[in-house]
Amino acid sequence: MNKFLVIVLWLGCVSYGNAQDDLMEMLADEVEAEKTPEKVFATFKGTAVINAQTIQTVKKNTLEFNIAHRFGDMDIGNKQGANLGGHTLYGLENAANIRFSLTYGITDKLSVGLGRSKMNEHVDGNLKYRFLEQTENGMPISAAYYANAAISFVANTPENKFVNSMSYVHQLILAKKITRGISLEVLPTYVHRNYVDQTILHPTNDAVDENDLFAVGVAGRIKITKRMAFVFDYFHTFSEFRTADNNFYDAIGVGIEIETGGHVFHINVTNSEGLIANDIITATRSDWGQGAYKLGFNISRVFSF
Amino acid sequence: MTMKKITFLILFFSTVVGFCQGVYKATDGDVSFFSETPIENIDAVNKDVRALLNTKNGGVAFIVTNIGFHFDKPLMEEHFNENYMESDKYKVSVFKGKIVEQIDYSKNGTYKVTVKGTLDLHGVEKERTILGELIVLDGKITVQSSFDVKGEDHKIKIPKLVIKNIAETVQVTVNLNFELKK
Repeated sequence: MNKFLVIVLWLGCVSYGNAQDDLMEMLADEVEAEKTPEKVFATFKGTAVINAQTIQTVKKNTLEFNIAHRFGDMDIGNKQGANLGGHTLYGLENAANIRFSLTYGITDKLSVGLGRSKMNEHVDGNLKYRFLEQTENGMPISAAYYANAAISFVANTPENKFVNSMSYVHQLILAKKITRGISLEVLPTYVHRNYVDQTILHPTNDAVDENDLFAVGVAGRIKITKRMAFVFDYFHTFSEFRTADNNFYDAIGVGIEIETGGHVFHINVTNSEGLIANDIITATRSDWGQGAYKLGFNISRVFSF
Repeated sequence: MTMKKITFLILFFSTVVGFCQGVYKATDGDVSFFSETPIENIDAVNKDVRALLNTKNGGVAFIVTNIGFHFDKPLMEEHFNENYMESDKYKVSVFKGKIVEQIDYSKNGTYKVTVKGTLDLHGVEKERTILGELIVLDGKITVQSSFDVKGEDHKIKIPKLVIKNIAETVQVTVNLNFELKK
């Protein structure tokens, strides 16, 4: 009996896990058993595509400084004037809009910012809260809520009331990193302006400007190399007043994004003069067809504390 | 020696080293790395590490989830995952090997060990001989090791632009606390 026990024990010992591969198999099984869905990272870079906000927030205790610049109309193919582009070096000698902004991450999901635009002398306070994270084999999308309140500091506020200089944006950002190199997002957007001039009629349909505007945007990022990507975005505003025959156009932007260390750099072309939704949704009055697109750039730099 | 005594000894021995199998599992541990350049130091810690140690044959293996490396600066973490480790493509880093020395795991003590094996990182396998320290204390085993990993060896390219910020060779430190696997 004893002899039998010894043999059984000995056989048991020898047959069990002699090779490293068995150890690896055991490890692999454990990894599989304890697997948690992984968060998808780097859906977009920086906080803005061209005109659209990205799903990205500024990370905790990090400050992002951003400079966005739009030169004047390039006027290539403008049929109205002879060689308009040549007179302004294709818009480079004009500055349609400039915006400086700071954004700070309170948590990894919540960031707040302050910006100042040349257009309408807008100072905007904004916040972005990312409340849904795309995971591998789990949640299919990421989602964030963006809101801002902007004050226009142009002289002569309508009716001399301060409230008339305010406008607000509420935006939902739904993003998906489809493959390693392709990310897309959709942005249902609502803009409210406290004051609009309703004495101006649309030339053909007699519509007037609206205080509340709905718009929808799409934006995308397609990686070309590890640190370079093609980016684009598009906004359509639902408004009877905003049609081509009243000189309102959808905002279209295309660009190249370069990332180097703590910088994200965009070179882009867009017909939008605005740099915040308060201007982009309400006042894109340049026509791509008339060469009224502008060269622009965004530079962002992050500082960690 | 009688048969009874031998049986007893074997049974006793088996109980001590963990009933035949002698496989120890890391209950906690971390893998960290350190990159040092005159401009900036970068370090990251990963606690998402799983390891097994077979005291019968000296087999040792550990696996670490690449996305589990956490950095001081969030942007560094993003770049590490996106540009260097490519964590969505190469999800884990694996080391499997064998302790060369014969060690009496039933006796408390500190042993210098040499581990021969392969490091599979960024999809590139490399034969490595790594030195470390193994401490046996009351049935628990602690393993500590520090070794260099050269980015180039594992096809991790560091662009010229940031060559001053990121070391070409990083120091990896492994701390693992093992207990007998149940």
